[in-house]
Amino acid sequence: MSEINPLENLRAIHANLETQDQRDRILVEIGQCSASIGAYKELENIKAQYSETHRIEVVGCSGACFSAPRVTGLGSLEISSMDQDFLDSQTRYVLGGIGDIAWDDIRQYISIGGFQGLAKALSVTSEEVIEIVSDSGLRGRGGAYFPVAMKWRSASSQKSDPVVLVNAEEGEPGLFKDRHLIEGIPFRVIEGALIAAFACGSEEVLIYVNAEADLAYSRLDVALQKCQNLGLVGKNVLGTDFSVDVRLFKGAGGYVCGEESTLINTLEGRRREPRLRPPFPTESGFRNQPTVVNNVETLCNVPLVLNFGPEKFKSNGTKDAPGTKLLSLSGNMPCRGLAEVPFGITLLTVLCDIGGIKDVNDLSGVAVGGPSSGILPIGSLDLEILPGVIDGKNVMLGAGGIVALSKDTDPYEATIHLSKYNAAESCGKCTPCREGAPKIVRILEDAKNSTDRSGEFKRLEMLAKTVNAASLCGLGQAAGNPLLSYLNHFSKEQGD
Amino acid sequence: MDLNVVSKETRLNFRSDLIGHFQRSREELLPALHWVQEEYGYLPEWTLEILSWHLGVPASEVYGAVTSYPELSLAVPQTHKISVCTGLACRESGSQDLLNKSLELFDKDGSATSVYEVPCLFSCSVAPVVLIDGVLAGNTTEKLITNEVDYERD
Repeated sequence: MSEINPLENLRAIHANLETQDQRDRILVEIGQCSASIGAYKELENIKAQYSETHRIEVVGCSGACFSAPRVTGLGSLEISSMDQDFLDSQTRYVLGGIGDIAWDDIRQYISIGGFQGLAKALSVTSEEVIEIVSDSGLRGRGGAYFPVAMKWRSASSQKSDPVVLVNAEEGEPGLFKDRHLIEGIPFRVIEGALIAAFACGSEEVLIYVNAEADLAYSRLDVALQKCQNLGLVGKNVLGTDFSVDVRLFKGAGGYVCGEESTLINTLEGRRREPRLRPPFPTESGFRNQPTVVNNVETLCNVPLVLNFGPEKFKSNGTKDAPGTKLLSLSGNMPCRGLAEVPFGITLLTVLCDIGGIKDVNDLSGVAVGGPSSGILPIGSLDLEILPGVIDGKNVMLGAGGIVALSKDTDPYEATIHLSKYNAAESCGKCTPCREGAPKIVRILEDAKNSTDRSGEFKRLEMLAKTVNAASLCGLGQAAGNPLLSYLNHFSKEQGD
Repeated sequence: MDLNVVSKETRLNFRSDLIGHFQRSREELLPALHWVQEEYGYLPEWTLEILSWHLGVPASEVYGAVTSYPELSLAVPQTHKISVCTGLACRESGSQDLLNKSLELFDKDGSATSVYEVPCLFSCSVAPVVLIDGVLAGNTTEKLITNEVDYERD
């Protein structure tokens, strides 16, 4: 072990990669969002004009979707101050490099510190890697915020070999962060998954990608092949005795598939239904092997923690919630896009400084955390962005989807909309969710125009609490939340 | 399931194709279903039973999986398809009008285009979004729907 130096091997790989031409770069940001509003056309225009004189590179979307399709690197095209404010107000840690390096250029990725986290991990024991991640306090970023090191330790202590599953389902309305990460910096996702596999003693990684994220899937596929060609994936990674096989898997839709035991069922070719727990996936999951399921954003943090140290990670966020969080900003705000902020920042700061909202009184509320959460009134926007429940009741940060609702949108209507989504996506396994979630929608719709809704609200509250209490998975356990949040925050204000 | 809707030869060819692409393992079920859907545009029922034999998964469970995933379809697709997202962010940007416009234009007898309302297309930052024959269009306007989807008049 002592003669093998993974960092040296990485340097050798880097040195061997072809050096690019030295002409000035023009960066064209292309992601699924910008492609839908003409980014490829823009790329053609730029190529026609500048391919003789400049090096034109396709990079991932920086997150400033509101000004897409973006092109940077051309002196004549000044970056607008709105873009600059949007980017400067953030703490870009996981997003570092996206929009700056060509998505498929492994040389540029290594130049900004890529694969050095993996090399450092391979220089120590897997137990030490878990220790470093444990020291950082990193928690899962998919919505449940479970400590990453604890999951890894549990899986690695089982008798049989674990499997690492990368959860890129991201089937929650209002979310587009994992897709952005994969499209912008696919190598970081792969590197994070490799470190996770090494730490758990796993030789198999499966990356599960949302059925609609075609661009993310194809970019990941290209990146994976490049890694295989350079010996970063496969047998004896970076010359060590760590070998790992990485495969991609295309999902087939459904919000509930993001739930880890449902995801395992999908991979095994079963109906999309959650499993009973215990046993937990880390004990017995995919093919009854111990299984670690990690979210894309979580895994993108891992290489940075290994490379720059846990202290740097902890320098952002709060003591109990270290690090940063990606927020997907959409709805009625000027600067819609993907932003990264430290934990502990208030929602109001996010909306005004990053989202560019001038006056929150122009809003009727803000939906946080998607259909498993609820809507906050504008009087409660000074709440902090923290893992889990943020209003002390039913509104959760979830995976970080934030939708601003204009004055024209009635929070009651929006609550019906969120409840409808839960009803439609219920897999049907648990009766309270299957029957209760549609019932909530029916009662809400029937009571829409009635003047005294107190009786209905009482029944609804009981029903929602029952659905939450008696369902198996995260979807059912939160299916009543939009309604309960409405009752907490809006029913009194509106004289119900 | 009526297997005789296609010839024996077609079925045998399909089976040897399957053998070439997929191992006998239930983990191959979803990849195999995606593959069939790509080939045919939907999942013909006769293929499901052959899939079941080949992968070693009971036909009832193949059917169960097929009907539980929104991306998989047993129905012969229309020539053209428009999916209008009416998620929260898209609603904020007028997706209801887009849906109504699409229905008005295409939801009538003899139309080769089917219109769907979908809960989210996960591109909320460029809302409202519409999926036209598999191609995503962001910041969509009624004009785009009227002009872009003019194949009805061809």
